[in-house]
Amino acid sequence: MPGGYAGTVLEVNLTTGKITKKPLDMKEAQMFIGGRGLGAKWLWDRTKPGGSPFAPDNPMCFMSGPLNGLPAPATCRLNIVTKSGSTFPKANPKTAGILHTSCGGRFTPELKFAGYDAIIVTGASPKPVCLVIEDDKVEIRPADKYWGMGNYQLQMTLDEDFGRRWRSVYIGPAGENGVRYANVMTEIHRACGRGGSGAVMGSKKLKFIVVKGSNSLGIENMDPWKMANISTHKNMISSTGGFSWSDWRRLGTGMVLAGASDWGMEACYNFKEGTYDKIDGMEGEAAIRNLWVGSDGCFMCPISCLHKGMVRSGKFQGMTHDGPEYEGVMMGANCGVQDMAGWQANIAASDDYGLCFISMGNILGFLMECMEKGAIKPADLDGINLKWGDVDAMLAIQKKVAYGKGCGKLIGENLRAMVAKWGKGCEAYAMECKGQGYAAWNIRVGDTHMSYATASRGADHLESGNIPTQNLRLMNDALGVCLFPVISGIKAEDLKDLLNAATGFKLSMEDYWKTAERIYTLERSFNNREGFTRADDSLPARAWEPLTYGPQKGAKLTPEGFNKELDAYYAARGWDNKAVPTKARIKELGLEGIVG
Amino acid sequence: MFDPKEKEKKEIQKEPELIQRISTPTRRDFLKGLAIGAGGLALGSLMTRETSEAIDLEYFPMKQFNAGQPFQTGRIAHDPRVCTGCQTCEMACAMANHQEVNPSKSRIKIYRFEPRVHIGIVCQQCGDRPCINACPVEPDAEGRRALYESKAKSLAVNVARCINCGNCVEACKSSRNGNIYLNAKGIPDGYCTLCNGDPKCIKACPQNALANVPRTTDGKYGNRPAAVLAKWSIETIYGGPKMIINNGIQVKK
Repeated sequence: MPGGYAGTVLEVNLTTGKITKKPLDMKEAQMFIGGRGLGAKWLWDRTKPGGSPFAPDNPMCFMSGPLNGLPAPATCRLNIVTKSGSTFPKANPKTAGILHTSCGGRFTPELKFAGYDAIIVTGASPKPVCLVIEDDKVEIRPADKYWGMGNYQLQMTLDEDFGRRWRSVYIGPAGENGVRYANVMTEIHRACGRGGSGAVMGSKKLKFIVVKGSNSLGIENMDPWKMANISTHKNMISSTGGFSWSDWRRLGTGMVLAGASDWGMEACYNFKEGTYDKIDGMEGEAAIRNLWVGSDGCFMCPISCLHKGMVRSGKFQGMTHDGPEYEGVMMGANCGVQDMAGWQANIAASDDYGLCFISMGNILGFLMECMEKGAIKPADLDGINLKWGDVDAMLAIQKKVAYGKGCGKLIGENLRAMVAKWGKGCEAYAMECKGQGYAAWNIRVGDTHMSYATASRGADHLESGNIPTQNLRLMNDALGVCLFPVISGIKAEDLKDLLNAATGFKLSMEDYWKTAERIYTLERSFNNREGFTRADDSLPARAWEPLTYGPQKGAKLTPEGFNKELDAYYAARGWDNKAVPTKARIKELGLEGIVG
Repeated sequence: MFDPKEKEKKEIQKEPELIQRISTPTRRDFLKGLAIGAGGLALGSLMTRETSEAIDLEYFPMKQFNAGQPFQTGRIAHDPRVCTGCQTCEMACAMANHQEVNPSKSRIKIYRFEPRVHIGIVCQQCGDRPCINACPVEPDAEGRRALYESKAKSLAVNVARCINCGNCVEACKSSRNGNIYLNAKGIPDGYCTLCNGDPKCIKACPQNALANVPRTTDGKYGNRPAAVLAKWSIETIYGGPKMIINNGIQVKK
């Protein structure tokens, strides 16, 4: 067994209760690496087009990458690959697109120390269960005691029941109740967000997976490993540009709360504006003085970008939670919130319920604008008059959504379902792509719109709008390393060298990028097979509306410009202008026999 | 032509006896490694830095390195106010002391509590040595029981004389922080070796959360179980244990 990988894949069928261990196919691993890449291959192999993400046969892959658990910066990420609860083609709302979603923490390293590169969960249990893994001991156990718990209570109970060296991932009430943007979380604050992976896990009645490992991992060649690691650290620490090392440590992604607003790129008032008129006090410099008591980091991360806060006065006095981080804007500026503590209360509620607060905040902003413009009435929200900035009303709606009560049932689906129910008057306010809501980076300035439109998992802020960066980030997801130290300065060459040194692979940079293209084209092929077309790579009508406030006042996109960008994008990816990979491209990427 | 990697290559080659490859151990290797490790520990006080096969994560440029400095004694002190729980110290310790990429082998262990604080537990080299005093094995000519104090003034074990009774484990667990345990061979393990005078965890920590503290203050005062240390820290940082349920409303745990 080469270094890096643990060498075994764990397969758990919750319908039959059967647990199997299979050796990792190293030929496949060399082609698709791990994490998001290998997960895409397995999802392609194991699904037939047209199935619901909540059907028992939707496999849920908990993926590590070959760098997880190794002594390099932030080798911590978990990638879940499964069919999405949030995206579907316009042609067929009953099926779903591919979902890859990642979180930090300490789960995947521990999984590898236990001896497994991945867990593939199939089937569904009739009753609530959990998966308990301790090295080679793997058990499905009843989870009745835990079913219904919010994530705070669940994490603290797991710490007591299993011990503080056990690592776990889990769903909250939102996932149990099938909210289509429910997430899978770890360590209370860290989320595999977007895409409703929590609802998929909930449909299998799987409440949590808990793991402890005592084995070691291998490194094939120590000399090149040490050299690559020195280069990695030097590049990360010496960065001085925007998103630098010191910025990350000090404010985390909160460093751009004010910046994005200054650049006209922040989601404000349901994406109507890009600059927030009430940004003062709702950003990182306020948080570091008035909220934060310390930092927290993932496995092997020298940055430690999570900042834990405590509210010291006012209505929410005594509340502790992490954030604000940038995507928290969805519950902040996007909803016209001016009160830092109330903002954090809503973030904490989302985390406790296991709701993706990006999707939830997107929908709350949508509801606020619909209410303001008269497209919906308080009666549509069980009597709640949801105004901009009303943090208490936001909390009330979140609770309904998490438990599927009253209007929460409909709101827990997606924007298209609400538009269908409440009428066309709402349509202009729905900011989504492929069914999934936009995140905190606005469109009309920069190339975020391309990220949202072309990403395989629907409106995705992390993809980026240009191909080289998309490929870079995809490889991070395949390796299991965190994006942030890479944005801070780590180069792709460093990661390629670490991968080669750990595993004994001999990838050149050309091979590295070709692997990214291969995985990207496989993801696109998966979506095409489910019925997605170019028509699903669309922008909402707000894209053509100019910003009316701030330094980027007047900025807008045009349908013609966007179509030209899409044409260029597909061509650069080696796809025809219907977004179908060409036969030549499939052959070039080594996908013949797999795709088409 | 100037090659910036040339200097780094030279620096690496200067270090003697560098392990070339860490393999994922087979079961057989695993047990063999245990025997070597235990024997190595017994000889720990006699080994110099030049012959140890430590693998160092010594590339954190923010740190002042101790190469060429005198032997460091003292104890490893952990600061929960700045620790972020990243476990880099654990990796450095496991690689230096066990040549394994394996935090479960680390002698410093980080425990996460809620509200979020990370407590580091590592042998504090208590001045009154309740562990050594609990060892029933008769002192030899140099005054050493089976468990004894090494030249680096950390704990060490004479594997040949140890009778696997576990008294030391019980003494540490009942009166201090419980970092000692009996390994698969019945030998006390888990205590801090101070890496023979050149502690690796301190160098690896990116947050400056670890320090080698001289013995001005006896380690026994900080050597409390993790739960006690967490209670103190949580009271100070957060005003006491709390939990958030039901829309962010505080509930006393």
